[in-house]
Amino acid sequence: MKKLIVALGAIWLIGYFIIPSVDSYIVSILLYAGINAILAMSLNLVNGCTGQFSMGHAGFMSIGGYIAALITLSLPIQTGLFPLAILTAGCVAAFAGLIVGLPSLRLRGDYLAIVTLGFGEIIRVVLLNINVIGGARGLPNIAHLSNFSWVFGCMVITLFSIERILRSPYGRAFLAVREDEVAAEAMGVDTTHAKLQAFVIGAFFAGCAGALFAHTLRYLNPQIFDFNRSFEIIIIVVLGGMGNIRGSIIAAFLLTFMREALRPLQDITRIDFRMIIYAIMLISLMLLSPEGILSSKWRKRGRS
Amino acid sequence: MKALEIQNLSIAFGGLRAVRDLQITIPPQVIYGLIGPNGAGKTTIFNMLTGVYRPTAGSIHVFGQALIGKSPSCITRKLHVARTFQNIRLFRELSVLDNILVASDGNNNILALEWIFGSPRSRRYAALQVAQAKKLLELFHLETRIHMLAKNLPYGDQRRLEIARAMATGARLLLLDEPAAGLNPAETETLINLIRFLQKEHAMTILVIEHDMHLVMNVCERIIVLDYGVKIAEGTPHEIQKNPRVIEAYLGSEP
Ligand SMILES: Nc1ncnc2c1ncn2[C@@H]1O[C@H](COP(=O)(O)OP(=O)(O)O)[C@@H](O)[C@H]1O
Ligand SMILES: [Mg+2]
Repeated sequence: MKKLIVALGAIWLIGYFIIPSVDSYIVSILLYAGINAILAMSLNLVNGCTGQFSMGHAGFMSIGGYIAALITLSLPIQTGLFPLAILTAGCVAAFAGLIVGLPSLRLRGDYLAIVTLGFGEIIRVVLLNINVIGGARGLPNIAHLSNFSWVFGCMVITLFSIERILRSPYGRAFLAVREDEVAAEAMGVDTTHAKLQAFVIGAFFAGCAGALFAHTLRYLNPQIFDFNRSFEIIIIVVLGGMGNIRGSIIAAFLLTFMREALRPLQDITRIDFRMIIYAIMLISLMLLSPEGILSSKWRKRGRS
Repeated sequence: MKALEIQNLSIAFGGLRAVRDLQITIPPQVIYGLIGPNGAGKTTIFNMLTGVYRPTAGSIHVFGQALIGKSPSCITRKLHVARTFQNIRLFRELSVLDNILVASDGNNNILALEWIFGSPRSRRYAALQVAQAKKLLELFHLETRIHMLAKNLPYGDQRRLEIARAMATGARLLLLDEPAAGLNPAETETLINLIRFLQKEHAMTILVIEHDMHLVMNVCERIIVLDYGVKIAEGTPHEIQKNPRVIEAYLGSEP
């Protein structure tokens, strides 16, 4: 708790004194990296820690993004409104997680992956067809409420919360489900319940990340949240190591910066290199270091 | 009240009738043995007793409470039945301590938010829980291995940790599936003492499946013999050793 407060203080100071003098392009990359870190940590809770393969994380992110944007667009803008919008976005996304998770978490492995993939696509198509939020044209003019302090503050809070949860009975139940579902049930863990909890908590933070994203980019379009977005988050989780929460942060920064570094190449050749590079990375990772890019030292610390 | 009462229990897998019309009654605080050749249906009985399989017919009562239809986790929590597995099923990537804590997390109704913010209630609960876990691990001679990952434990320790984990659920009826399998004679001796200790000092009712006749004959008050899903004998170790049907089941009939 003390550590968290110190970290938040430090982030605020950096945001207040240092960030204004940093190149705004770099800052914007940092913001997207931080948002990706929140997304990856929350997905890691489901995929890495609980062992359930969810592929629709962008769906929860988009729900959070649109909800938060609608709140700040429709209410008279005040900075104090932003945390409220973030929390509401998280809660609505969590509720969506409950609705999706309730029937689908009884399914195992591949089936869950397919259902969550379908969910992500359904959300996107639904958003495309709602006119009041712009449909395919998108939702412009979102207030510029997000900044370094908000994104990194939320990132640190997410890290803190998820690590605390993992060291509580809730998280131990998640890990037990991942390790051995039959044994977990036999030891009194209601595995369906545990999976649902992980899913709902994951969706909550994804919703918060969506809210931050909406107010960073200041424009939303359903196409932003297509399958590639979900896939990108999965790549970060795998890269950082399944079940390794801190690894997810590092991988998020690596990948986000790498994507920006590739952008000039992409502009010249007009080929979307991202997916090719991701695929190559994933394959080499599986061959060279299946536990993620980080050493076992990090792994232990990240895992309680 | 009986610790365990099984009546007319049957289960079929397709055409295979793995357990047929089984009757078992076990009073509280005793050790019973369940023996029989491979494939006799012993593990299947445990799976029915823990809610993994649903019987095709019959009834099961644990300390007077009906069991059939309840989920495995509910049976562990509410009916206080816990088991070990024939093929060890520890949470391999978790520490020895965490293996115990998962089992003892139980019915605390502390909210996730309290754990995140570290409410006094959650801190007290965690401290008490860890202290109890350490005591339990001492009993099983695992106190020096507390932070090791379960998968890195020597085989004999893994077997004992599985029993400790089952105990941590707060069980009153303990089902042990071949706990001595793969143990050396010294480890088996430790296990025998441990099983006796749990019955005497922790008031446990224990049903143990085992092929090691030394263990079975030494710790079990009574033994139930199963063959092809049917109970063919029940009695004291002495009676079972002399029972011609048991000898036939194990050695095959004389031509
Ligand atoms: N889930 C299942 N599906 C089909 N057959 C099963 C299943 N579980 C057990 N059996 C069969 O039931 C019989 C008894 O098995 P089991 O209870 O494991 O024997 P054991 O007495 O050696 O523990 C075996 O013939 C086994 O193949
Ligand atoms: Mg067996």
